[in-house]
Amino acid sequence: MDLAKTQQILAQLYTNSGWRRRFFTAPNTLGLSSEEIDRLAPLSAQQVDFFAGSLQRKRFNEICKLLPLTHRMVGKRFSALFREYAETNRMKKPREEAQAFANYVKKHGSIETRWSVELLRYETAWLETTRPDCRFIIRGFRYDIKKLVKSFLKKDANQPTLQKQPTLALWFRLSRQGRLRHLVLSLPLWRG
Amino acid sequence: MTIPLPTLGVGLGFREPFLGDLFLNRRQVDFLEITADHYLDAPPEKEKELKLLAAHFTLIPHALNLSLGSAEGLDENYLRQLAALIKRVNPPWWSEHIAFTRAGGVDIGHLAPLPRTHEAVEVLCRNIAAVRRHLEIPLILENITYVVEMPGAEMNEAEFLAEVLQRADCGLLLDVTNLYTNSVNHGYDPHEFLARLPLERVVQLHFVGGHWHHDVLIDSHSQPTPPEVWELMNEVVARTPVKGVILERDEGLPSFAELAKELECAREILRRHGRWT
Amino acid sequence: MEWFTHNFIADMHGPQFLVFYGSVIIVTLAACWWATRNYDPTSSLPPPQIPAEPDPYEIAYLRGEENEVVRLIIFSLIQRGYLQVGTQHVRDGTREGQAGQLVQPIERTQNHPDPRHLSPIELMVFDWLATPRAAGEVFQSELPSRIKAHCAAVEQRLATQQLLTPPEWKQTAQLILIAGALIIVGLGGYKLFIALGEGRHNVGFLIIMGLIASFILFKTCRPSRLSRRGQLYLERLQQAFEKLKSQTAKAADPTADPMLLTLVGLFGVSVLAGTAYSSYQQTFQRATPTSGAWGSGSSCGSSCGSSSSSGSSCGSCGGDGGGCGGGCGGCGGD
Repeated sequence: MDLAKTQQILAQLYTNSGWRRRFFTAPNTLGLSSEEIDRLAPLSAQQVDFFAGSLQRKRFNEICKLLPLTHRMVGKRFSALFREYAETNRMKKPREEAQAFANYVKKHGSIETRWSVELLRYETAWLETTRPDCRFIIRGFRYDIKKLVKSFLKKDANQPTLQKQPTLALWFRLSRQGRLRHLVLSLPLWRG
Repeated sequence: MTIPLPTLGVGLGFREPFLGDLFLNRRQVDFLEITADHYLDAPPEKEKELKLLAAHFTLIPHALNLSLGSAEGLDENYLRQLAALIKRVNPPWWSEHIAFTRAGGVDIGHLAPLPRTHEAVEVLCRNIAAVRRHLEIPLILENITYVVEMPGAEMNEAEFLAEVLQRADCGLLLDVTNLYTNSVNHGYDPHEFLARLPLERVVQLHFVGGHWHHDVLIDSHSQPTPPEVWELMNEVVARTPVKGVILERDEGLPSFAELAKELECAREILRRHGRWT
Repeated sequence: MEWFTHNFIADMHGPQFLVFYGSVIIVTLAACWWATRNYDPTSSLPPPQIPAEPDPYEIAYLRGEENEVVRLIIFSLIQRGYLQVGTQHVRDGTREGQAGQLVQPIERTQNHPDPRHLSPIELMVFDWLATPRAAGEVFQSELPSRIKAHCAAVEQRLATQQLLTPPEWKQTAQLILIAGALIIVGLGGYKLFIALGEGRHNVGFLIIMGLIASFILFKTCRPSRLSRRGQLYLERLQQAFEKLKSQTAKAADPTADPMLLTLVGLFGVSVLAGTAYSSYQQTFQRATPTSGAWGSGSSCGSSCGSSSSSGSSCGSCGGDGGGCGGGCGGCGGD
């Protein structure tokens, strides 16, 4: 078996938990040749699991760094949601992975409150600003997003202070290499 | 490798959180190692950071995702971007790993060990030759830690490293922490391992501390350097004129003063063996 | 004289002319802005290296001349125990429209250290504060101009390093500004004259356009005090030490932090918000108008504004329990 094939099998073993389970329990069901199975049979399942687990944790830690607000908002369900996401989604570059996972959280994370959705949208907008070609982003929010973030980040705040204030958030650069500027414009307080 | 390389001294793997401390303590850091991938496809802020660092320090780019061990060949797009970055930085050398990070369209997300076979050596040589068509700046190769023992090994780890370095004519980035970690986890004597390496090819060292998780030593880059790693560093520096030593602290970043102490210990080792004045 | 009152501009209908005038304004503003930004003789010079031991007073002077130096000196004297932000409020009559507002003064501490340890410039400020004074009084007094005289050597050093706009470039930039103003005001004024001469009085929009354009021209194309090289140097300094702002805010004992002075010199008193010196920050922020209509970078602190690069080397495996053991990158964590 050539190295290319070996590496393809190893890549699946390291990143696909279902495939890995089947390899060590019923390798014949994976469409591999007997030579391929024999060649890699001496692999230690424990070692492979250990390495795969650490890769998953690394992937997860990157997401935590890139989506701290979402992590805090979703709380204990964050890691479970990520495990579900990682099962069916191949690894991407960090920014793309964070954006993809944020979308996943929005769809499957049972984000029920409007303010949670707005925090998620605000955070993913910040992620977009890290694209090298990003010059202008505009997002509308129902709440004063700056106040929402500030109150959410306060240590003892389970529920942030909410004030309905139509708000526009802009991110822009005056030139391609210019400094990223961020402007948040809120309409006067609306007691709707 | 016949190109004479400059002696750079003792430095740090650059981490954003201590950018300010770095500028306040420039005299304690001789050079920096940068993670090349952080500056590829990067926002303007990272570009400015790179310019800032390059204006004040010698930078050694350390790449992560070239996947030199990939039998299916290199990612040409990544190679082009990486080559452009390295040419801009114009370092005396740059580094990558003896590993692979992707195969069959799957990105593993980390450095995975290669089977220690002649075929793997051929693949590495072929890929390194492809890199050299884009970049003439010397490439040095790093030894990685591994948990998974690849079946079908035709040689042991030291022989495999020696064979790769010899056939590819590359220098070695000897990560003494990785060496120590592997020796603990796989039960071999690191000093005997060193004896079988072509130490004359060692260009640079990495060092840092890891932590124990049950019976496994993890190269977490999160702890101060342990005595065993200092001892290995001392042995290597005594035997070969290492050009640069990098403290590779990633996690649990302590105060800069703590890092500076470790740098000074490394510098003292270099001085003791006449490798640094 | 027929051509003066009948030509393609004079004969243009109102709305048509406004579109034409708008286009001329945009082109003129863009050209003047581009010229003042790109013809700075220091544009092609790389900024100086960041010094190993940055001088906070020099940095403050670079950033904001004598006013910033005064703020910094007062802060330094507070940090070293010579002065304090008083608790007995005094009336501040220095700001128009806010006469009589109660503010916390800057005053000497009871048991301050020996002033003989102060540098001449610091002693000048300390002497001036023999009696408690509102922060606003600082900028209305002769103190800043006396400080400026003491900073002549710094000014000279900055000029030698080409960090300040050279006088010859200032003159050129002013000529560009005048040329731009002549085009905008001249064209608008000419059409206004023609319109009024023809008995047309619906010229409000024309006047507003001219005024706004002139204001924008003045604001954006006026040569700045710092040369392009100086601006880049200041940006570099701020970029290099930006991360220390959050570290300093969390410092257990900010009184002992020598870096704080450099940070205040570099970023202004706003870095003191949330520290033990926030009363000083509030006092001086009320004393002078705040600058900058908008902020840059993250508005929600370190939680947002994340970048695609992590701090790890080869990409830490890191995690809750267990580890990897693959390559360099720091794996595992309990």
